[in-house]
Amino acid sequence: MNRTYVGWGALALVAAAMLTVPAFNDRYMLFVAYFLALNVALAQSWNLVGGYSGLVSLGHAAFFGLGAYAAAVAVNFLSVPIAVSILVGGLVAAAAAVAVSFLTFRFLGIYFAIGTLVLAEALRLWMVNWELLGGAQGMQFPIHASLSVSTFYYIMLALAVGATAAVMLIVPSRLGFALRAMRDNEESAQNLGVNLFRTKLTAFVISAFIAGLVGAAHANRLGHIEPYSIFSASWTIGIVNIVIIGGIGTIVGPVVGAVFVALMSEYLADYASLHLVIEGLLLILIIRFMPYGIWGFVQRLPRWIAGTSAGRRATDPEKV
Amino acid sequence: MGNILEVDGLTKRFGALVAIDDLSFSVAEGEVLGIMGPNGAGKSTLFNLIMGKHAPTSGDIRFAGKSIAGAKISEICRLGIGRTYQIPQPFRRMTVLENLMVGKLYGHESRHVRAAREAASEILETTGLADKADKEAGALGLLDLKRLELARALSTSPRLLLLDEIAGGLVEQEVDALEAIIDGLRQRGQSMIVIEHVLRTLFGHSDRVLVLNFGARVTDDVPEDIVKHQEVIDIYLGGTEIAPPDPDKARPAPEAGAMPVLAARGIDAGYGAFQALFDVSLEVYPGEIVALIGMNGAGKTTLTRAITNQIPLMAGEVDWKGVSIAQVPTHKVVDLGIAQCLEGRKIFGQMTVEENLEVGALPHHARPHRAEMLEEIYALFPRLRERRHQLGGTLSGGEQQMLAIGRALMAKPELVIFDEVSLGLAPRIIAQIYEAIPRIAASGITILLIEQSAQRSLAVADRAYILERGRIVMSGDAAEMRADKAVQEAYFGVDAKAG
Amino acid sequence: MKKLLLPALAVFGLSLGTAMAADAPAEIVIGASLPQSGPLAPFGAYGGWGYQAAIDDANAEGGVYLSQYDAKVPVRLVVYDDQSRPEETNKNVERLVVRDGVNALLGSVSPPLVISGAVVAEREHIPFVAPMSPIRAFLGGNEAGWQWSWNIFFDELEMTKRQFQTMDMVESNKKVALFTDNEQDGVVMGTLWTEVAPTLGYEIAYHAKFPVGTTEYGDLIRRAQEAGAEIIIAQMVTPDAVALWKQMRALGYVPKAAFFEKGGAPAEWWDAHGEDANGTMVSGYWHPELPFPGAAELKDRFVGETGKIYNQDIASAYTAAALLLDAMESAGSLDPAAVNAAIGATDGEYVVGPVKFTEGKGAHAAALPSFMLQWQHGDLEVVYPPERATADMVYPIQ
Repeated sequence: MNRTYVGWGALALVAAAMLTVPAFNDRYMLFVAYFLALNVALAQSWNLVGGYSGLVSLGHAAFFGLGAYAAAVAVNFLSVPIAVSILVGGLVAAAAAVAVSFLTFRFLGIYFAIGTLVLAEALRLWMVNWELLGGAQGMQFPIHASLSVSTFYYIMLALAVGATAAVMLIVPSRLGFALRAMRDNEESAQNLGVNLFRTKLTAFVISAFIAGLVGAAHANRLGHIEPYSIFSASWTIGIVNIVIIGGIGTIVGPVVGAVFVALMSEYLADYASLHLVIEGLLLILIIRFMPYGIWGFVQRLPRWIAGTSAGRRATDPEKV
Repeated sequence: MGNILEVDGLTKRFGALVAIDDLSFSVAEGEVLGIMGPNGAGKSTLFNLIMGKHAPTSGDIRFAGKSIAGAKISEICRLGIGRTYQIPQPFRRMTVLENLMVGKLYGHESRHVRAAREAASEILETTGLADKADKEAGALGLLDLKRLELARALSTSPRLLLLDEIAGGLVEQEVDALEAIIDGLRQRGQSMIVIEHVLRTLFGHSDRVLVLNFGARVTDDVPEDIVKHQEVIDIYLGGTEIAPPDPDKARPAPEAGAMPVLAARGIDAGYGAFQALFDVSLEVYPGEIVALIGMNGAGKTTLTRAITNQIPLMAGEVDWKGVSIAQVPTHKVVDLGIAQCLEGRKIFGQMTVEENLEVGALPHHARPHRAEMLEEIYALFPRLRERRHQLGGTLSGGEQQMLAIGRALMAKPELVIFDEVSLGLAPRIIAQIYEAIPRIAASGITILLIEQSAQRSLAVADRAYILERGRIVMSGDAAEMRADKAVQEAYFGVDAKAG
Repeated sequence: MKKLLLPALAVFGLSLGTAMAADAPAEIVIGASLPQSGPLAPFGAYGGWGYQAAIDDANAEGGVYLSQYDAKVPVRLVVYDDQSRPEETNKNVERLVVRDGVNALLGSVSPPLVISGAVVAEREHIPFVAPMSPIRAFLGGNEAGWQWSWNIFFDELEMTKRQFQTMDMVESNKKVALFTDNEQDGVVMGTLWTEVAPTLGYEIAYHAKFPVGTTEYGDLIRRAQEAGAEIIIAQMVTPDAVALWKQMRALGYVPKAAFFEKGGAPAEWWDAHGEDANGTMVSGYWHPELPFPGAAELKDRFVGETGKIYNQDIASAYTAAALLLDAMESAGSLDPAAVNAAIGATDGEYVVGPVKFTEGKGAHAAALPSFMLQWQHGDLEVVYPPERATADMVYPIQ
């Protein structure tokens, strides 16, 4: 129980600290913080399925991209305010998750990962050729109607905090038990009364909804979206990296991973020719020496130093 | 007191294989039904059908008067059936308490996490896991995993409990600990179906025992009388389908005073804390066929692994022609001249029959003889010649077994270990394989035959050992043992004075 | 003491005054996001070299003269790798603005990357000059009209006519197969060729469309062959184009004339095929033998510095940077609006040729005259129009 309060306290503290960022009037700080928030929101969304439910979706970029396009359609064709367009983005992505669930949930393990990846790629190619929504040229948002960079930052921060809070609420709940049970052993979960399809669908839809919100908010800020980059698998790879680096199946992990990746990409931006090599090398080192990610490593560190045999074993990283 | 479960004409086919064959039985409220049968008899499949993992091909399953055939697993759980697995299937990254809470939250009425936590804690007490509540399941030892398996099945408060080999793989004190829990459940009137290969354990719990073979019902009776049924004895000890050994077999008798090719002396072996073999000694002399007989779980496969240095010994020694093989790496054992023909027919499915055989001739001494050995094997099993260009994976089970034997022989071994070569095969195929064994021995190869079926292996062997729960309980001349009723008792490990 | 106070104040006031009037910035910072990895990396290298060369030339003379400060200010170029990915360009350009405080921006390569960067320039009100995106695709990227972004490159429509005009010099059955990828300029060019072909007496017998990164073209090639096409026009990135041409030759389908837009331009094209690339054509807008100021020198300088085969994009990139610095000089300050206005007023001859931005619809783009270039033994020669030709056209392809 105490730990729960500590968790919520920490979230409130971090959120409050992040709220002060625009006050520094440092555009670079705001820029880094914005992408940090974006990555945290997306990583938490993916962590809910990939980390807690064992549904390793490699098609997350599709939900992000659908949110972006739904927002573009809402703004351009229906002239809705930005806030409404973001909500529309989330809802469209969630609806898409329902639509593909009947197909993708038939696949297990690696086949689910490949299936979602293929569907996302198919959607990307479809969007490239769908002239109504701009085809390869993409769609624009009216630039003059856009909000200030600070406002976009607040929106993204709200999404990041909201996504984190959602995971914090779900994990210890009844649903959270079903997700984790299903992740660890699908058949055992069913033997204990868990309805697999319904549980998977719930997690998938919540996750897609968050990704859609983030995509829609980001698209409004981008001002111009086109299918190649907005549906790019690099979004998926990026957030999976963040979750793995930070610590999969933990709440703090995606935040730690996002901070790590943000710092890395900012510091390495100056070493253009080397940055891919260095990034790859760091990733390999982390996976090799910290298989539970940075946060998992930190959690295990005290017991590891103490040298107890149990120290190497994981104990409920979900709790933190 | 009505029947809680009624199985009626239940049949399950997987392709051509009939796993459950027109099976009917019932379990009364409060009754404990034990199920026994050799490996592959369909026991676990039966559980999968009752629990809804597989849908029946035909027939019906009624639980508390309501048909559950084809229902979802989670629905069947909520109706009131719980199960355990032979190999524990815990939620590894959740704590012991959380494992049970899943059942309380989804399989039972408590929908609130706090209530579920309290209810789950009660089960921890009754199953002896209270001190492990906050331990992650992945970090538990085997006994605790088995306890958790049972506790979790209980967490949904099932009206009928399906227990699959709950004592399997445990040492005696541990088995006692679990038995105490199961006895407690029985006292409380819990209806159960129990699969257990340790017959003493099974008989201790069961009100009635149902015997399955090839997916069909053989007979049922109270535990005290079940092994008196001739058809049960035939299933385990082997029936009359194997012809007695050829009287004019042209094999030279082992030389008197010769050194054994293989000798195990006082070996103890196991896995981690689990000891599967206790002080086992056996000798195999050149040219002999030696049978090692035991029920499922007696430790036969562990013994094979110990002999071929695949697992470390806890005590004792294995000598090959008088020299310890402790220092020989596993992949070099085959170079010594020991070939294995494994349980489960591990052939390469994506290679042709001939390629599979050629892979067998990898040891240096075997390579020059590849062509002649191929001919010998084709002569032994003409079916393989017919199928030489077919992929291994497309062969029938019996043909795969022949291929596995052929592959073992390709290494030109001095000793072949046949590990349960008749497992899951049709009687006709078993007969063909057993016909080939003396012919293989006649070509000068020594054979160690590891088998469940006593009569079958005694029919072709020169000498035999009986292994029961990790100990050699009987040994002697095969022909004499064929006639000895004491073999049955030794084999079953229970007092079974058949009429 | 009082006697000292007044002069002290005067000195202080004077120093304050001079500081306000004459303290020129220490440097001019120009930012560029360029593909240094990914499929567009070859073009990124030419662009980066061209930008740096123009900036080096300015610095060799002490920097850019800014009349507001009556001083020459040195110029520094900051480049980030966008990995040929538009979302990275977008992020890079924003980083250049907010972290490096750039005074102006230079473009990336190809319409998606250029547009992704241009939207940031528009939002941040920073002048942005892009030399490596065909102008119609660029203009299509913002229907409301660009305010801060400028484009110097060839006009796709102009160029699509060049292929057919060049084909007239080849005897053929006038049947053409198109190979276009799904990238923005692939789609735009594919549509233009289809529209233009009949007006110039050609038939598009087959049109293959495929995603970027396709490696297997056998089926598409067979269909082009079955359609009886004797000429092919392709619009694809270099690795894909290399695969297509290799597979065509392997399958024995050698058209009489072959145009590989975009993909056939960089030296990698020749490196990949060697003599097998002889006769392949790519439209272009520049050649070192053209009579523009410094053309031949620029090529020699590139070859001398890098030891590689030159590409025309060094000229457009050099020009983009040079005209941006000229605009700063004529604005006399680094005030973004002033510089932006000065860019729009550009009217001069640069190494790439005469540059003047159009007015009205299609404003913010300056179209370069286009030529047809042909690979001949490792060199690109102008073969069309005849009055500009540096060599005779070789056909049919061997």
